[in-house]
Amino acid sequence: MSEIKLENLSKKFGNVTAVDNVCLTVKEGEFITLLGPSGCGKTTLLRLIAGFEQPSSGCIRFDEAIVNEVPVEKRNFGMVFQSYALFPNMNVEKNIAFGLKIAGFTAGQIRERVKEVLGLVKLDGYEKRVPKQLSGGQMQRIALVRAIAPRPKILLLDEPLSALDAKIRVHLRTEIKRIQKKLSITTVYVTHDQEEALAISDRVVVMNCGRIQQIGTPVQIYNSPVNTFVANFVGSANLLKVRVRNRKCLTQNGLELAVSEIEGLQENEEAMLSIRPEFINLVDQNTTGTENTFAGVVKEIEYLGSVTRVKAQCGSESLMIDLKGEQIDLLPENHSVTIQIPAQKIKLLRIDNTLDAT
Amino acid sequence: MKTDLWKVFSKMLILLIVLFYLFPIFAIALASFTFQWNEYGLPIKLGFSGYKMFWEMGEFRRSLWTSLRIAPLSVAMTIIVVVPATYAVYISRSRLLKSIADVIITIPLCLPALVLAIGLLQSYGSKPFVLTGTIWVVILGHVVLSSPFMYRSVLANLQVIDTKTLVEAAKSLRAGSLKTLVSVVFPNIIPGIVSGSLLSFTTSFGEFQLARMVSGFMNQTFPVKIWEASRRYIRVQFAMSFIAILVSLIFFIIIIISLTRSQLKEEKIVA
Amino acid sequence: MKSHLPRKEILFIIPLTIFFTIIVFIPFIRIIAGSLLVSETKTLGLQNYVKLITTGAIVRSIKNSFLLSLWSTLIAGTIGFFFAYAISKRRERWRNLLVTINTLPLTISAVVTAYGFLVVFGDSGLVNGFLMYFLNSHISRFFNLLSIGGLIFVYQFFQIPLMTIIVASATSSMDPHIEEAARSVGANKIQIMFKIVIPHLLPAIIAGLSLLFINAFGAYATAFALVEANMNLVTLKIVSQFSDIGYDPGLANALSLLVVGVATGFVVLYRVSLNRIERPAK
Repeated sequence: MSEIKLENLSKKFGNVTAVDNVCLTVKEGEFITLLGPSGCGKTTLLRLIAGFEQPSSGCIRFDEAIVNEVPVEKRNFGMVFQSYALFPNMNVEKNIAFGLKIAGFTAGQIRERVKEVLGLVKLDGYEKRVPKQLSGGQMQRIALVRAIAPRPKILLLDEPLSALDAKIRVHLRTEIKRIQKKLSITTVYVTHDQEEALAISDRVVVMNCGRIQQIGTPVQIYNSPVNTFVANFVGSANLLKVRVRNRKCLTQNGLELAVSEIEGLQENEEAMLSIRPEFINLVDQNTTGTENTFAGVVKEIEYLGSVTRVKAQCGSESLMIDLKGEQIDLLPENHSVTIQIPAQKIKLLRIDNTLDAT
Repeated sequence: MKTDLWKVFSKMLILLIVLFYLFPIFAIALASFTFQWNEYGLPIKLGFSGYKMFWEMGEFRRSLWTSLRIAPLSVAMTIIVVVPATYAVYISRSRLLKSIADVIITIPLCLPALVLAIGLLQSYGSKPFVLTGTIWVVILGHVVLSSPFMYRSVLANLQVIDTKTLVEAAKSLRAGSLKTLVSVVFPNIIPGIVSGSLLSFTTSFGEFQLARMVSGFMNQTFPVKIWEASRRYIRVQFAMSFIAILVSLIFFIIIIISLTRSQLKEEKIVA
Repeated sequence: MKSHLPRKEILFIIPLTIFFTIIVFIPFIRIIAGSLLVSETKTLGLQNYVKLITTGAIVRSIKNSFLLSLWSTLIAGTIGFFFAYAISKRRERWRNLLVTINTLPLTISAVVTAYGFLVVFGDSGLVNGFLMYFLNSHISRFFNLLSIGGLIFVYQFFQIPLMTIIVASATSSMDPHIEEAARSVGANKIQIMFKIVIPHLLPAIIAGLSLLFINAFGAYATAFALVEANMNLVTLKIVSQFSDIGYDPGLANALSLLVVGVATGFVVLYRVSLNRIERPAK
């Protein structure tokens, strides 16, 4: 399996910089996801790796060898497209056999390998079906096994599940991960769905405006976002502008919060305070002695089944709070509540403009 | 209430237009089988004499074969010349190439068949480049007239099946350019080619002005002979006209059937 | 890497380019050159163009061709538009069938079309027969097929399908929910038609009208089959310059260039409108 190294990779389309000075190493056998909103450059980056686009500057290495000049057909990778791109004029067997024949498999080997990969995705017996007869999920699975059948060293997937229903998406992403793990193939996966990225990746590369915002494991980017963009894009976050006063954080309307990682910040310094909705607690009115307790008023309630999302007003600050289960009957609108924010769950981020850029 | 009025109106409009499209066909059919008209010009006796006369007159018979030779040849040449160019224009990233091809393909629109005929007559009518008097100049002229139909049809086909992504998929499976073209692109644009062939064939078969001006006496095409017949042999004229309609109609039906059959084949496999 | 791609694509364009050079460009140059050659004196000059503007018959033919093209285009444009719109409202099976039937007139030879109309609407045709039989009046009291008006009528046979094709492909890409949204806020059919549908389809309408005009202006066979040289039309005049009476190829070339000029003007309009359809201005 190949290791992929991207060194100072940039791509410009006219005046628009789609990929800006990206440096990334994808280890052998790793499952890495490029995550970001539409237009952030993740698909362009993937297509640069594939060779469908030429970099404006920088270089791409597969196992230390520079592949910038290597044509697509010689780069030895498998690709799964968002639209599946199954060849309409061929049945399933021929679609999979297409790459195998070029790779030099004999007729017997092809038949065996087709059977083998169809078994991997539990579509045994589908050899003679035509793409028109397949459902979206089936087409995606065929596209996947067509890509891996010739045993490529790299697997690239461009938002393969975007066109599918939610339930199928969840099921298929697990399949993809399972197969990837089994084959230990170096995989680069592109998606805008952060839940998907967190669920299946070894590491996640969060991108925005052509630039890498953060690289880390799912736990790292969720729990330790490095800037406001990552904090807000991966999961939800309540973001409050604060100023350091007496080793505590003061919000713009006077709420005072104790924060565990206050070291490293000067007095009067400004920062962005981030607290995830699921970490905010609603406590009994009479609780005393716990820090970071405030009075608030319930403004909106959304029942989402496993979670109840509450929007509460604390002075002039609006907070999103996620409560487990059905506490909805306890909270009529305009009901007064007491909010408690645990100091250890608060993250302090630099004030930057990553949030404003779309 | 207003929507009902519209519904009635639109249904009537559709009916009227379809009848309008069909009436000349029936009129010619009727005239072609008419043996005798009364003093009002209405047919009173039917017969096959028009067809008999046509069949017996060699020059008329030959013109049918001439057109039936010219039309398929011009369709074949149109495919050979236009389809690769259409593909190149579709897949190319060069804006220059796309603009050039765009202009070239738009030109037949600016040049009615008549102007083309005049140009060809004068350019290739005398030494040193004598082309007129052969069927080839007619064929070549017809290719020019048919090319917009083929181009439009094939281009639409390429776009609908997202050929760009299919080509990328083939490349990702290590296919070279030739293999991609032969195994992936070509099989999937056959519907577009077939559909373009319909209008290419009928345009060539029914074309009058160019054929009349440049084909010379030995190689007169069917429409030209129909017109000649109109001056001397009325019944033959109508018989030939109906034959012309039949040829177009038969080709039309063949193409429509083959296009819909491929759709039906897939539905059968599911069942 | 990018260097070898354009080379392959150029290869695909070469047959087309060579072909068009031989069959289109060279003859076109020949026409331009020929238009500057005055037939009587065998010298170069602009006399042919002068003749265009001064000769009464020629000027009349230009006027007639314009009238014929204008009216046949406007009428076919309107009918074709509503026909295409009506088709778009039908269910898919009917839509496909109607679109298919719509191409049928285009497969019929222009000459045959002329005779079809002649059989029915001509001076000794079927309609005349019925009129004489029941009303004892000749059709020429009401309608003369061999006139500009008659030609306008006959031209509908291939003009309506053309307009329908262009508008129908535009309606197929129109979101049906737009009209539903308008109805939900209370707009009636007429308002929807004029305030929403027509503006949205305007590029297709303009493209269609342009194409129709070019088609009518340059049409020859049908007019020739019906009226021969008895009517003044530009296309008929062009061909008559090559006959034994009044052999004037120079004039024919000049007239041809006029036709090309008119066609080019409308083709530009047509292409610009097509681009608007594919890339709507935001």
